[in-house]
Amino acid sequence: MSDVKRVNPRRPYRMSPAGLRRIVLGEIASADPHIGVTAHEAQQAKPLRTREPAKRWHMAVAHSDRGRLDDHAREAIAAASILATADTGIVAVILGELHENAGELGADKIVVFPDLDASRFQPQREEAVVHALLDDFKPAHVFMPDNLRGDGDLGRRLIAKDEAVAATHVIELDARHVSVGWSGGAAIAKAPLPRFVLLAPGAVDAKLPFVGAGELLPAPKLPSVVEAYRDLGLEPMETADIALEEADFIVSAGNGVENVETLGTLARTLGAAVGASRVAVDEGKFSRDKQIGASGKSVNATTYFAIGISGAVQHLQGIKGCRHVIAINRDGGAPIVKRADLTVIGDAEELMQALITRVSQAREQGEVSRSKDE
Amino acid sequence: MSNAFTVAVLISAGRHPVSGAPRACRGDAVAMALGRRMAGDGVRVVHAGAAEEPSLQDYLALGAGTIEVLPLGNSGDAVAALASHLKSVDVILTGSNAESGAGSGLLPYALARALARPVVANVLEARVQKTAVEGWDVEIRQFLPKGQRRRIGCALPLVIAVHPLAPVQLKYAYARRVSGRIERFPETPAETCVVQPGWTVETASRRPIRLKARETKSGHARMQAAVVAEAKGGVVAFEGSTVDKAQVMLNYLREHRLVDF
Amino acid sequence: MSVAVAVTVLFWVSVATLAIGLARRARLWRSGREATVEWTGLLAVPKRYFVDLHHVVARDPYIANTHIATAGGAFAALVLVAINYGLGLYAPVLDWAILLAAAVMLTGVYFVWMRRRHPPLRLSRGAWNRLPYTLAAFALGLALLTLVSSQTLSAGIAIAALALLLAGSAELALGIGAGGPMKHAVAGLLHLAFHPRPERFAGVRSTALSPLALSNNDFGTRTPSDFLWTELLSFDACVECGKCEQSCPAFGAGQPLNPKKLIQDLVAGLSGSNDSAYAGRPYPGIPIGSHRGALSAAIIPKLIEAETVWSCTTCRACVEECPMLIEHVDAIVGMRRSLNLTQGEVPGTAPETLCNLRETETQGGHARTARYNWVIDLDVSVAAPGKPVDLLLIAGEGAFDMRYQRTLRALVKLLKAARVDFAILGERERDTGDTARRLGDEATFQALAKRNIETFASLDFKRIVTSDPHVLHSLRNEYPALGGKYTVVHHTALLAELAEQGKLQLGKSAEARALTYHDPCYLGRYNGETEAPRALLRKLGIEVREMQRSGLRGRCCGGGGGAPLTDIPGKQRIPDIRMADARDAGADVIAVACPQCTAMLEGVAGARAEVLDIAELAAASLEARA
Ligand SMILES: Cc1cc2nc3c(=O)[nH]c(=O)nc-3n(C[C@H](O)[C@H](O)[C@H](O)COP(=O)(O)OP(=O)(O)OC[C@H]3O[C@@H](n4cnc5c(N)ncnc54)[C@H](O)[C@@H]3O)c2cc1C
Ligand code: SF4
Ligand code: SF4
Repeated sequence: MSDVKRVNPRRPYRMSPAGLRRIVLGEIASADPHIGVTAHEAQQAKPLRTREPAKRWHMAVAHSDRGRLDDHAREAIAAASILATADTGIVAVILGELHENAGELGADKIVVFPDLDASRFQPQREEAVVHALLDDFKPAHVFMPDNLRGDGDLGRRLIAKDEAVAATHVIELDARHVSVGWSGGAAIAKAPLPRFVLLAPGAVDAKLPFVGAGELLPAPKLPSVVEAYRDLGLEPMETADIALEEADFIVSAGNGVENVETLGTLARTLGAAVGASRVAVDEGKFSRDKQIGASGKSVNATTYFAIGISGAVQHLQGIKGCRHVIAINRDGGAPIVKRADLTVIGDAEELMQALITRVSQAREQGEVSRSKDE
Repeated sequence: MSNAFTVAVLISAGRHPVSGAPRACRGDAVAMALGRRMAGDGVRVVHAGAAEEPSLQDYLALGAGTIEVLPLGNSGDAVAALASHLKSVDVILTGSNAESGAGSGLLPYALARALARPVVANVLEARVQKTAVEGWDVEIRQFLPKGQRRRIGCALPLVIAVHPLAPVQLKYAYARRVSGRIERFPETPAETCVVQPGWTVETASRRPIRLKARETKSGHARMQAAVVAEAKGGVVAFEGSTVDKAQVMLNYLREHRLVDF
Repeated sequence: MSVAVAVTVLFWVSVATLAIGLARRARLWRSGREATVEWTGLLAVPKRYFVDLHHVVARDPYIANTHIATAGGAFAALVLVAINYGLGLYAPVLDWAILLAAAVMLTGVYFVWMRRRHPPLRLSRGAWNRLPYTLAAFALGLALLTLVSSQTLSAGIAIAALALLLAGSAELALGIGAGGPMKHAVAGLLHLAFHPRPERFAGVRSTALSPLALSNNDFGTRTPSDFLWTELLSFDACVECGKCEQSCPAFGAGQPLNPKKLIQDLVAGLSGSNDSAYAGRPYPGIPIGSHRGALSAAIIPKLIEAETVWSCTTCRACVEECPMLIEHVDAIVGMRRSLNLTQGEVPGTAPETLCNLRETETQGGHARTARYNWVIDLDVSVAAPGKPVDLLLIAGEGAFDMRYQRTLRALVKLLKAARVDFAILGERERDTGDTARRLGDEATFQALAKRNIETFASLDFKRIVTSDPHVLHSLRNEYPALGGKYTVVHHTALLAELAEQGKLQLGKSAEARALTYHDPCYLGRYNGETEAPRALLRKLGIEVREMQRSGLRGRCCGGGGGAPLTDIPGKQRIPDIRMADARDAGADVIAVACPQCTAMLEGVAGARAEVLDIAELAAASLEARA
């Protein structure tokens, strides 16, 4: 018996004939309902990264999102601190309000500009502010998330202004090098670590075994800049209307979904876009632009709920780019089960109703606990 | 101000990510289509590089008409050559990332800097209008993640980097490829103004390694991590009540941080 | 003036009218492109009429006999009138002969009238409905005249007879030149003489599309005058019988295509008119009356909508059924070529596929190295220059599809069991360009074909075997025009051959369920191969329950011609209809022989027959033996 499968010993399961693990629910239900909830992770006290005074600096610059830093922004701060020597300090420059402690993310000094929120477009002012800080700290390296929320744009403006050596869409880095995808990802190219590093998402593990000093510096006054751009504001939008190609969370219906209403409610509850299989579209339950698959759209959502979808190859072709596939199906032998990361066997309507109820509860509780935090 | 505004699109040598075959760079082709929508046949299509570049044929098929080719000297600096060639153009459109080389997306910024003009990136649509005071103004629709869109106003001249999802249709017609023309311009001596890192390309493609903080973990913790990592995917929940099953789905979403509650 | 002389006058006036009308019609035909024609084709008309055309018409014995009586009687009567009255012989014997011919014709017309009383929906009405009356008038007029001329003559009867004759002659003489229904007679006979695919009369299943001279800026058919003049002529031969409409899978599925209407729209374009006189069924979902064309005006979208030409699966069912031997698919692909090559206007996901073909030489944008990933554990040799091999196996695009890989693995197992010396093409394999060609992208097809021909030239093999009838068709029938000539066999033919020679020892199939066989259009209609797959199934001890439409007249699965890519919406899906055929035949298993058919039929949702390739059935019998 050389290839004994290691499985989580705490989770009851049995093997299905298809070689898939089936977890037995009666037992898991009694377990902690908050499994895997990061907010509830036991928070052990972590040591300070360094106690030496800073002789040099690394800087991380990122916009916040409604007072928090997303994973991508955290990765930029983490990169700055992981690559720092003991005598290097980490300055985090946060554009937009910040309601969390960036020290825990690795920053030693934190500068927050609440008025430079990502929801507004004021690139020249942002450029001026960050540039002033670059002059103050003269950081050896500047790390930013290369995203479309304003950081990728700001980073490139700074790079162009300084005519600096820079790397963007960085997918891999260490203390000396950066690597980027070459020729559309066909190969990888390596270069010495430049001054400006714009990171692709996921290049860095944001989990740190240490913390930074987390000293909040008073924000310098905003310079008066006349923007060449007029920000005419964000367009109002509805999550269910998000074009499928750019949706990050999709709830998709197949032939097994009778009630389109329920599906719509579920999508709204989860803040997801709505998709459909060809059969569901053929039946007139959804418009043609909702069709996912070989003759419809290809989607790249992080989360894809396939409800009452058998998982024909032509459908699977359209969801190649999806990270987490969760299936609801009556039939444990449907091909979708092989593709899905989690399959729940049962009636679509009942399960959708139950999920709507459970998610709504969780959302309320979540909101309560979050507002207590603040 | 004249009563017409001028538009130019920059196109680069594209390569298919799988086959490496020369092709029109998708993002640039989208920019070209947007340019044609703004200025019709009047749009100028400019390539800095070799006139023999095979992917130019694809741009002709996609409706370029005539492609102006600026040869690059030994400096190989497209920005300087383009800046001097396009000084008088009101709207310069580019794609977001080239398909050959690093595809850094820095060119529109460097060009805007060299021409001392504003630059807007991730543009989906752009509409140019005459302003009250005899100038031209553009209203831009900008792509933001999660389905958000922003509107931005700006006076001409400017540089626009087009988002690949801009709502245009690419139409490839062989007859246009045959009838299109490539016009060579003389080389302009130019100073280098963007510094490129010295890239070395690895032949074999591989998975990038994630940067991780070094950590001293107990053997048990490492074992635990391995087990959890392997416990991903392919789980099927058969038994239990509907409520239990809903909980399993919610747990999965939370475990993988797919929801924020 | 005697009645006889009046007939002579009427005869010559009619001949003159017809000549003028025909000259005008001929001018319209001749505004098409120059075509190479054999004038000796005129001599072959009787044979082509009585053998080739009649072969198709005879599928409906009622109308075949009716037509023989009507046309035969009319033809004989006309010849006799020409001799007796045209030359002024006025011989009573000939009058008796004319009477006989008129009687035969009248009998035929009676049956025409009978059918027209409750015509099937496929038949056009309108002008065609008046035909029994005008023809009857002609025959009656003749009969009366011959009868009365030999008897004492009542002026009243003579005038009535002449009036009838005049009405009948108007249909024939005026109607033909003016584009009335009887134009089919003249245009039909000339079409038989100058058919754009004369080899069809030599018993060849002529199905290859002809290459475009791209270097001469020939980019397909934009206007009616871009058709060959012989094609324009062929459209005038249409009798609006609707046989094509009845067999068209796209029409059946409610997609906006009706091959009969398409031909009639082209006739309207040819004569610079509109479709308001058309009295048949429309393109499903598109009302009649709004289409107008002219010889040198763009066909699409004013005369024919783009969705119409993109609905076609190129299954050739219409061509197979057409009694006038009209080539609908050539016309459709010609129009697609123009849309594609000059405007890049192609609907659905087809542009993506074409782009993939140009950039990766595969339809799905795959790496060429990935095509034979499924063969890794099978120990198959890869063809290389300087390594002679008997058989070259070409897997086609299906090789990238997990489902179809099961079929391919079964085929490899069978070839190994028969100890055949074969090799795969490996990463040298490119798409043949078949799909690109059907979608009108002749440039991409020719580019791919050129590169493939170079590859084949570098290798040493005797025959090519493929499980994909589309690959088979393009290599066997279309590459020769570009300089690539190979012996290509379909896997079912090869396996049948090996089994026949005893090299492949097949066991009895364990398949106990009722089974039917679906003929792929590109194997059956395009290549006439309907027997080998059935022979192979018989060898396996399987009895085939035939579906109503099978063999050369089989119904398409909907997968050809790039139709799944253009994906024009209809009321139903074509494979659903085919699956219903299988159900009607009482089959629980539907045997297939093509990757497209496999994908289309497996894409049918809900309870359905299981889809198995013949290779899978055969390979399973090996296991049963082992
Ligand atoms: C050329 C071609 C292109 C195609 N393109 C596409 C495409 O782009 N997109 C696409 O989706 N398909 C496409 N198809 C069709 C595809 O092959 C399948 O037919 C289709 O995806 C099936 O849709 P479905 O899963 O919704 O329906 P089904 O196959 O009928 O599956 C329904 C599923 O729902 C489950 N179910 C039923 N009732 C319930 C219930 N009450 N509760 C829970 N589960 C239930 C069933 O167990 C089953 O697994 C294409 C096919 C072809 C041939
Ligand atoms: S080839 Fe087939 S689909 Fe096309 S028109 Fe003829 S019958 Fe219809
Ligand atoms: S094209 Fe042929 S089959 Fe169709 S209606 Fe005309 S004659 Fe009949």
